[in-house]
Amino acid sequence: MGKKIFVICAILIVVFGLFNLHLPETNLLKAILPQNSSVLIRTADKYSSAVNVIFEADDEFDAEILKDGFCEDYGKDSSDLSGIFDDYKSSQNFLLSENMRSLLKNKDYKKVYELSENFLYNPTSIIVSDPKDDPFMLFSDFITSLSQKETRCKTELNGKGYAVLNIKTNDKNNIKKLFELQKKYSDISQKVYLTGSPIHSFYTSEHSSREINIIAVISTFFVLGLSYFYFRNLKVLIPIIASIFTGICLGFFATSILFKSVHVLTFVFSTTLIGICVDYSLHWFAENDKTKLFKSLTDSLVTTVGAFVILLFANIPLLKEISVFTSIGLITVYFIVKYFYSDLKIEFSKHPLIPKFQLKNQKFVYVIFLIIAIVGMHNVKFSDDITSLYKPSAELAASEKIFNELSDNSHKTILAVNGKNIQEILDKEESLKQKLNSESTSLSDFIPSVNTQKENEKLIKKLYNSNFLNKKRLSKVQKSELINHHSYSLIYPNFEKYPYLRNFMIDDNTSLMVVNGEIPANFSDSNVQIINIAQDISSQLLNHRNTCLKLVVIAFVILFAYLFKQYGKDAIRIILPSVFGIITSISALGLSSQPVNLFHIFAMFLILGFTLDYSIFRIGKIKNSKDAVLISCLTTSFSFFLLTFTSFKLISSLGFVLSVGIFTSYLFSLLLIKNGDENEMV
Amino acid sequence: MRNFLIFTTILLIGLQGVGSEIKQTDLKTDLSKNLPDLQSVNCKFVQERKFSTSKVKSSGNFKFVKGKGVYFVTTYPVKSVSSYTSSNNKYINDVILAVSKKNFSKIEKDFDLNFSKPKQGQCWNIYMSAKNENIKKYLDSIKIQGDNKHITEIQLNQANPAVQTNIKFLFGD
Repeated sequence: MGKKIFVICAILIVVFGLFNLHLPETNLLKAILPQNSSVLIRTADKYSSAVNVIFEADDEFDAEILKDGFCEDYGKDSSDLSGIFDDYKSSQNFLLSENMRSLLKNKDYKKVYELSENFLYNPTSIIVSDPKDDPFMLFSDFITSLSQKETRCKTELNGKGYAVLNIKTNDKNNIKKLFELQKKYSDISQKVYLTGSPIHSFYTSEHSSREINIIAVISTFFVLGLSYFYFRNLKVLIPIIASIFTGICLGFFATSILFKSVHVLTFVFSTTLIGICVDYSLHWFAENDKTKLFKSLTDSLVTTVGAFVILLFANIPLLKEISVFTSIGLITVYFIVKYFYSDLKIEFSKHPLIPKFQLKNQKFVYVIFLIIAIVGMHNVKFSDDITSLYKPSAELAASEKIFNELSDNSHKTILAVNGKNIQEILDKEESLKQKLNSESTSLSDFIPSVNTQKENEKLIKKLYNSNFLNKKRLSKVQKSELINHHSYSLIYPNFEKYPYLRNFMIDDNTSLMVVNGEIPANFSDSNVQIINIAQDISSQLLNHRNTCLKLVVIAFVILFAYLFKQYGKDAIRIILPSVFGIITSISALGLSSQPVNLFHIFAMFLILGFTLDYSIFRIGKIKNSKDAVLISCLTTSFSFFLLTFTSFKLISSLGFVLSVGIFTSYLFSLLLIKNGDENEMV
Repeated sequence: MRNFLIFTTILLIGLQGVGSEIKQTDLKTDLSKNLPDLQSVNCKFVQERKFSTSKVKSSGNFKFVKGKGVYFVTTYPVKSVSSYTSSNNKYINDVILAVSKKNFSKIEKDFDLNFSKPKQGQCWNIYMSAKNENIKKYLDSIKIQGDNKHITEIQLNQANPAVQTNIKFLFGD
């Protein structure tokens, strides 16, 4: 009956899962940040698809030439604003630079006149309007003010000339091409640097995939070798692999049903975690007393799934998905072992694994543990800085340093401005500019709101009407012609025609505004969100870390209560090795001066989930369980240990913590739980 | 007879053109051969800007720093300073640096270039005609004249609005 229910459930999960399949989510922030952080995610997205190509040469001119050649080879960049000039021209009586607008508002016509004189007589000024149509060069001044907004990076640094090209792309082929062009255009006298998230992602994924492939091959050979050494029959691997594969499939489909999309990290973590249930099969093949085995196997499943289910309460999408994926996967493997393994007919002879070693002075182990725990815990530091999760290569770090110096982003603040429609957003941006009184760049610089355009027109007419200027430049006829000129029209943002303007928008109702300077601490506006991507993400990570820490404690209490019900006072001996394992792994981080982050707290759940099994099987006094537990510990800790050699810091530090925690827990399970024939060994 | 005269005139003009102008295909080689090595310089400048119905004149000091760029210090009729680092100075700066470095690859992208140098004498002319439609909206053509040491004149022609800017550099020697 149970077998039938399991099969029906499995079929239902597969069918519903197939109807809910989506492309895997790859955005790292969507893995960490909850849905209510959508503005932050989209803003970070906007910036995370930006690639900056920096050209270094003897001077700015040569750097520009280098940039032009590079651009031609790469293909044209669509972020072109020059076409908007025609539209500006037919709206010139509605457009004023911020400076000119402020002077006209204050009726500082003398200054307006002086500026226009400067414009006319300066040989380098860009004249885009005839003095008979625009006697005070207001339109030319507006166009010049925009060209200044466009110049955002320094062009000279430490005696070298620089040019910067911004490209929006996440396409792997484009990034690959950029790396190829970087090689082509770099030599002794000139250099091309690449920066931006897509560059880091590409570089890391290229390196990581090579490393992960090597690790996967070594791990596979290790598991195969160990299994063959113990069972002397590779056929035993067929049901093990089949059960894990089915577990992964059902875990994936169940997650697809419950969540909008499965994150690629969920897939990576969960498949690794489900791989841990190789233990269930090993125990089955190693143990002859199946009734005794299933009591321990059920307790093992309950504690592992229990540890993962608690992750559902962490408000982190990735952990919620991992919780469902892994729990369903583990349950699947458990039922496959329970209902299908008894039909298997595989002949093998077991080769005892555990060497007869003697550890006479157990106190010595406890003393070492105490020293490590005290010194390590004393040195533990927490960090929620997202940048600490990733250490770029020396070359990429140098590129980022140059870009930061050129762009001087240190005092820039991003504001997300919300509005019901585009005009409301533009109005809001303009009132913010006045309120903050700092230099800024926003959509309203390029296309002012209709209200401002109308006000500009009035200000310009007032200027033409002013008595002060009568003797300066305007005759009565000219004045009348200028005031009664009606052929100009208002200008509206046209995102289809000028895709460049889209760079300011994160969705139809939210624009991004970059302010040069700090925002006052008492600033508050319900329609404006101050975004400091790195700081906001770090603050979210801090919240998650605190929540997860509380959940770890709750998980311990719940699991202890369950174990106490099942094993009475022995529950303490079951849970202590996991506690010691976690303490050692965190202390190891302190000793190696690595700060503890959210992912290390996540590792606590994993250590708890994995290592309780070791104690449960040992306390169950199942005759051959020690071999299965050892194989399980060796394969798991060895695989995680290999991960410590990856260059991606997040993965390597997780691998380090897990391998230390799992191995130490196993060691303490040997010390604290002695069953039968082992008494003479330990 | 009349047709013969027209034909002869066209032929002579054509031959003169062939003799005095260097073909576009050999432009890069000949620019590097025929353009002088410009040195850093301090001098006076005079600017005349002609609009459709008016014109303005200004003057001041000009400074060219080799490998860096140009400074214009307007002293008459108003005082203002424009250095090579300011964004509105960029196009004049680029033009002068292109001549100084004999590298027109940046300019060639947006302009058709024509270089001429009479066989006798030290003067030379570079005529740049905008081919990029977006540039044409601002600037129609640029003409640069020079001698064996300096750039002596830059002429900028805008079509819409019709503005002609003429900058002459006056050297003491």
